[in-house]
Amino acid sequence: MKRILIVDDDGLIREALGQALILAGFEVTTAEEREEAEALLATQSYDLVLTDLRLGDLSGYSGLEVLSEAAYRMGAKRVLAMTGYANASVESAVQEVGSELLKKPFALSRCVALCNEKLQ
Amino acid sequence: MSRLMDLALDPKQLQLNYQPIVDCQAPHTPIAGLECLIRGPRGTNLFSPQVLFEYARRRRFEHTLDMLAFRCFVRELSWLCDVPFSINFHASTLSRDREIVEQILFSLLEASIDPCRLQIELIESAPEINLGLLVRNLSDLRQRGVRFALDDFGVAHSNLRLLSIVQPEIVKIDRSLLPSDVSGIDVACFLSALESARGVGANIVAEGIETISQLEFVRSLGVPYAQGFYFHRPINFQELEKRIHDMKTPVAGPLDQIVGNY
Repeated sequence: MKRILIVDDDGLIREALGQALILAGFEVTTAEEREEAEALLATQSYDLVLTDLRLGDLSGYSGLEVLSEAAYRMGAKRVLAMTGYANASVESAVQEVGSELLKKPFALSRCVALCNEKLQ
Repeated sequence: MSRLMDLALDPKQLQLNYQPIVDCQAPHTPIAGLECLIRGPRGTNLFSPQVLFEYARRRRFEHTLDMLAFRCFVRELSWLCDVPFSINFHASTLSRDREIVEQILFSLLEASIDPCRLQIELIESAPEINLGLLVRNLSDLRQRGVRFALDDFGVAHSNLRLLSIVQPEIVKIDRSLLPSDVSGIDVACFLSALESARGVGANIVAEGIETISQLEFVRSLGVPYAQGFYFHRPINFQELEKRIHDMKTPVAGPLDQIVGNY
C-alpha cells in the first residue's frame, strides 16, 4: 500500500483529505506542523507528500521548508504543495523546488486523481 | 508552546516500557538488566520513539524530554529493588551544563536508588556538543557509580570517535549489524564492531536477537548479554514486576559484573 504524508495546520483539511485518500486505497499519515513533518520524514518512508505552505507559523511559509526537505529526500516529483494564498513569488518558489502547486480550494477528487497519477 | 509539544512533555501522556537484557551465556537466559524505553502520546505520530526523539531534536527540547523521561522511570523503578537499568540520554543533554550531574544524582537520591543501578545509554549526537563538559560530567557520574553504554553502535552517530571519548563500560551493537544469515558475508560487519568494542575493554550487548540461530551465533562469539524479541518484547511496569517476581534465579546484571571489572 502506498504511503502518503499530509502536512496541514488546518484540522479539517487533514481530516477530509486524509479520509478521501484512505478511501482511495492509500495509507495516510498526517502532521500539523513543520517540525512534526520533518521528524516523520527523517524517520519514516513515504511515497508522496502533500504539504500546505502556511503552517501557522509567523513566517507564513514554513511549509516551503517541508516541501524542500521532502523533495530532497524523495525527489520533487513525489511532493505536492497546497496553498490558499498563491501569488507569483509562491509559485516561483514551488517551481524552484521542482514541485507542483495545488491551489485551494480544490476538489478532493482532483487531488486524489493527482496522487494516483503521481504514484502510478 | 504547540499542542503537540505540550503533549510530548506531559508526563501522563508518556508511555514507559521496559525491555529486559539477558545473560545469553546462561542456559535459561535470566534477566540481567532492563532498558527503559519511552513512547510518546498514544494516537499521535509521536508514539513512535524515533519520531518522538527526532521531533524533540528539531524543536530543541531533547534535554527536557530526556530529564522528564528519566524522572518518570526512576519514580517507577524505585519499586523494584536491585535490578540494573539503562536509560537513554542525548550526549547533548549530558554536555549542556554542570547542573545535569546534580539533577541526575538528586533524582536517584529522592527515589532511594543506588547510582550503581543506573547505566546511561548515550545516543546521537549533534556535532557541536561540548566534549570537555561531557567528559567532566561523565567522570563525576562515574565516581558515584553510574555506568555508560554506547547505544546502536556501528550506525549513524554512534561512532568510533564517541567510543574513544566516552570509553563506555558497555557497547550495544546495533541490530542492523546482526546478520540474518549467520553463515553469510555480512558476519564481517558484526565481527568488526565486536572487535572495536572489545578494543576499549567494553562489555557487549547484542541488540535485536530474534531467532535461535542469532542467539547461537552471538553465544559462539562469547557475547555475554543480549536483548531482542526472541527473549522479551518491551513490556509495561506491571508485566515487568510479574516476570521478575516469577524468576527463580535472582537478577545479576551487567552493572554488577562491570563494577567488579573496572
